[in-house]
Amino acid sequence: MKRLPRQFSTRNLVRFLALTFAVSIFPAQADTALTTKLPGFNAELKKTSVSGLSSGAFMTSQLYVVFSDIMVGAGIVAGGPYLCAKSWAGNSLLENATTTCMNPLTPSVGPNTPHLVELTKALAASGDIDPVENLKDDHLYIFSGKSDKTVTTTVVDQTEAYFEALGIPASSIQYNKSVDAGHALITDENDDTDCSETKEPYVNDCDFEQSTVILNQIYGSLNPPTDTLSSEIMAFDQSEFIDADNTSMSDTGYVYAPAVCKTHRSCPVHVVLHGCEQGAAVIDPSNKYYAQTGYNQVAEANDIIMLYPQVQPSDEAPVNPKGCWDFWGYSSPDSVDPDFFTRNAPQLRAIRKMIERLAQPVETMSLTTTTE
Amino acid sequence: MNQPVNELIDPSLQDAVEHWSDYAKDSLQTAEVVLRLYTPVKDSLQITQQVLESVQENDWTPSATLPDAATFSGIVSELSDIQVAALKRMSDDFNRYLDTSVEAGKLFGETLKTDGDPQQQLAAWLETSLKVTKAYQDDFSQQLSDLGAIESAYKAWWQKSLESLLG
Repeated sequence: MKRLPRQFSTRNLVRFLALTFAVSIFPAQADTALTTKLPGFNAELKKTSVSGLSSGAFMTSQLYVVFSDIMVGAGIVAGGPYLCAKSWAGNSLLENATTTCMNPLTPSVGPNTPHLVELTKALAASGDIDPVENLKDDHLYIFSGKSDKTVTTTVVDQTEAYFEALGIPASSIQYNKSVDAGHALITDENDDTDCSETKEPYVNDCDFEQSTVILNQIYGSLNPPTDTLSSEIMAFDQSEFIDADNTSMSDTGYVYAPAVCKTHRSCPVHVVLHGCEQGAAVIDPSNKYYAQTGYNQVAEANDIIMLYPQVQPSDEAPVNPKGCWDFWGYSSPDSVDPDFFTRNAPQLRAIRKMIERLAQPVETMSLTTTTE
Repeated sequence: MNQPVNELIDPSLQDAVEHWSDYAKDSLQTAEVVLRLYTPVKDSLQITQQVLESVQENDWTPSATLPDAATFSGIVSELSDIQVAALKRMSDDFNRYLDTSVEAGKLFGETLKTDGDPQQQLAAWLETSLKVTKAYQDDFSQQLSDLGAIESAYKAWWQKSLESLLG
């Protein structure tokens, strides 16, 4: 019997399957929402923060560490440390991302934290990322579900170890691994998936609102979430911030700005990053991640702007069939040494530009378009 | 005699054929994506570059003195942990195949008892076959994923061991 080449039959097939968890492919959908230019809201740039789930959590670590000059904290739900895909030299970035950084065989072959800390310091010293000293007075929230077999607690433990090694005091890190949750962002909505399960759209009911806990940990002593919103969630043209060919980012992003942040106050920005198979291109029209995870209600009560950048599936270059954020280099498909982790990385660059736009002065024209 | 062909085919059989057709289309699409991810030259270059960088950073020159017993013990202990974990995953994979086979047997058994005309019986058989095929495919995907984790673990262990022996 003719055998397939070994490389095909095991290693590369494994990479793909492990990465995608299952074998279904979601076609990229066209952005159909009416979009407008992202306005300036005179946001308070130096009080920016970020949170995300899964690939969005890995991207959270990246955005947070790379642009630490403007960050005050982060929320990492089921995600590994910055540069995790560079853990072991004998594995390709994709192999590390799909094994070491998700469900390693034993803790000793999980994320190589001492090495990642050294790499981070070297990048800071060379000016490719902001100085790591910026992180020391920040506040972090980290979460790992006890029933999460996708990104296991073994990996998330190293996220805590990594940030402590970079100088964030243990007292400034809230790490919750006591909930019997699957691989998901947590809500207090009965209609969401049962807590311990892992299934689309990866938003589980575990009887607490994780978005509230994350923002409280980062900003401290916040008001309780409101029941109503003073403004509408705005779809904006994300494509104007994308200046590379293979980002896999959608043409449309979303932002929620409480009415007071559009005119009267300089509000901080919190960036929310969805996980694989969670972008609007995949789960619309439910608007699950950017409208039903409780972030906007906390934003309303505390004058915070919520920014929801979007990435979508792509079956061709770049190969990103599940619409994940890039933490192993797919956005530079032709490069042996792809840059997905410095201030020049295509996706990080784009999100930074969105944050800077929000920090620009309020313009009358943009206000007219957003309050409709 | 002018009855359209569609009306001669039972709707359940049409559905079953359609489900197989969708499955075949999805599988083909998946195979195409897998092929696009197959970049052996790039991966080899990437690994070579990473290993060279690691060698430079860690100064992998043989030490004049032998490593102490604790170092050897640590290396062996980690290898032992990896082997136990690998065995457990492979055993879990095998048990999953067994469970799927038992379940498949039951499903086919029930399908054989299906009443109705031959077309409906064929439709039921096709639907069951598809269900069983997908179940085996899920098991196979999990097994490949576990094999990937095992391979990755041994490579990481090798690097760690070298670093502790030469570092």
